[in-house]
Amino acid sequence: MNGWDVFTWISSAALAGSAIVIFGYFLRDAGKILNQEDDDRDED
Amino acid sequence: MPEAGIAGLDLIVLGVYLLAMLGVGYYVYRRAPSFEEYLLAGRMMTTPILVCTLASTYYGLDILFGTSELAYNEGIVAFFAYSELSLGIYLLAAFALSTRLRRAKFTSLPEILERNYGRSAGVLGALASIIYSVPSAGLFALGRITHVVFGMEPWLGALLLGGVALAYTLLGGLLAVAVTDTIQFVLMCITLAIAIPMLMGEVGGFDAVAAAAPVGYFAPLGDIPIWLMIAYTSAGLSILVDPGFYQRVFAAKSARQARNAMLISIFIWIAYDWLVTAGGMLALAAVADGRLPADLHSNDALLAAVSFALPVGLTGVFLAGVLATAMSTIDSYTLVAGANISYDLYRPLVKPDADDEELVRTTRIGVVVSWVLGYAIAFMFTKILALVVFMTTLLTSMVLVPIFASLYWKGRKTPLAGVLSCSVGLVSVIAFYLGIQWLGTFDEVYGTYIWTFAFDGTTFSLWQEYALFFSLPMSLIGFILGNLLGADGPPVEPMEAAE
Repeated sequence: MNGWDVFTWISSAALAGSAIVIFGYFLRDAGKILNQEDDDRDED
Repeated sequence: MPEAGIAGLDLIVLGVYLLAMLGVGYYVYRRAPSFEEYLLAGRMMTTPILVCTLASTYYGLDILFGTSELAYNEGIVAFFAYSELSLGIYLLAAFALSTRLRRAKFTSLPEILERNYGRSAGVLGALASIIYSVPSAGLFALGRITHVVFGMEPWLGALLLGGVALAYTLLGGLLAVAVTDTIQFVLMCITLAIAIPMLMGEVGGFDAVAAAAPVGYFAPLGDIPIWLMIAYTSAGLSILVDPGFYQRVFAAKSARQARNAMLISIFIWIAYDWLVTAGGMLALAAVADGRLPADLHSNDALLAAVSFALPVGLTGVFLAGVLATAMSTIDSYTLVAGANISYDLYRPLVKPDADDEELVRTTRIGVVVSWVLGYAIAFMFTKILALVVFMTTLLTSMVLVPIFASLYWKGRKTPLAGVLSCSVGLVSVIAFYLGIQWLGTFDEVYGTYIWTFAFDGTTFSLWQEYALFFSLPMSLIGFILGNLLGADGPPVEPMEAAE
């Protein structure tokens, strides 16, 4: 397999994996964001 | 349908996607948001939603089709020289800019100028931001996609699908934009991540590309002139003053979440850039073995290649991803321009004591005005992409120096410094463009004006793309002169006090 083929597979896995994980975290936060609940404001 | 192999199932997928977008807008609308909720999602956005909206907003069809077109024609240089050289600037935006911006609790980019230099500089910044943000390129590209996919007239496709983006933006503001961006982000990423490996399998991988490619197709930096490379890298400076980026940072729940979102977005952009580049290069192999027509337009290379590689149903999902790519950019910048009209022009110039409800109402009017303006420009001008490059250069030249002086220069800042810096940046960009157009000739290969001249036995070439090298120093000189000659303005709330 060509090295660029491998890089393409890695990029695809990284992009799809990131999208799924980030979407999972978004769903965790979605209720609070949509209802504008501010119970743990994270100021730094 | 002229080119892509779309079936009934694909149309159903697309229909569901569009209805979902409208549903999100309506849900937020029913809650009657305040101005801060409408424009900045109540400053409640956490890292995941920020990543989605940042990544999808900044990457539009210009990346999807522009980079793949370049990869199809020029090869791997599209990834290394054109896309990734700006990464250093993105890192600067993540580490230096996002934290400082979020802590200062601004509402818009022009407001930074208004607070530091007074109303005139704020208005100039607002005009630059509006010109940059009206969604002409996005609507133009959307029209082109609907023409290629559905055979629809471009103006009608942009009107219908751009109208959906307008509707949910109008109803729900940034919260609706960010939630729809999230769905669009997932669609963009997953569809591309599935489509490109399938395309690679169909055409025989990069070995097939190497067999079909001309010499130099795999040279990372190609044979582009070094100054042009620097100019393309400088184009990445626009993120340092991109009003859409600023709006998302202001909307972050904290400075840390804004910075983390930017860093994750950079990682995603690298993977996305490569897959788009790979798609363009693989299309070349598909043309070489006769699977795609030899007269394939390079701008359509990615779409045509993916359409033949994907099965029915997945084609519809991919097309939804393409539409998502366009709509996530259109909605965000329409809202930014609308807010500039309301918060940065109407409020300071017409009604400084406008209440929350009035600001939401005028922002909605501004959203419609900016969309209509973008639509008109999209179908009035023929060289729309050149116009967008010009607008980007214009914004950077006008506001980069005064904005960075506001954020990082603790010394004296007079109102005249803000006004002169913006004005001199504006005039010098226009003068440079007109000068090169007048003295130079249009290069059909690069699609730009180039002035070639000899000095002391050496030949030099000045491209229109070099405008920033001239305009940014001029803007800095304007700032220094304004500081030397101008009187002090009213006291400015220091950044530290706002933190």
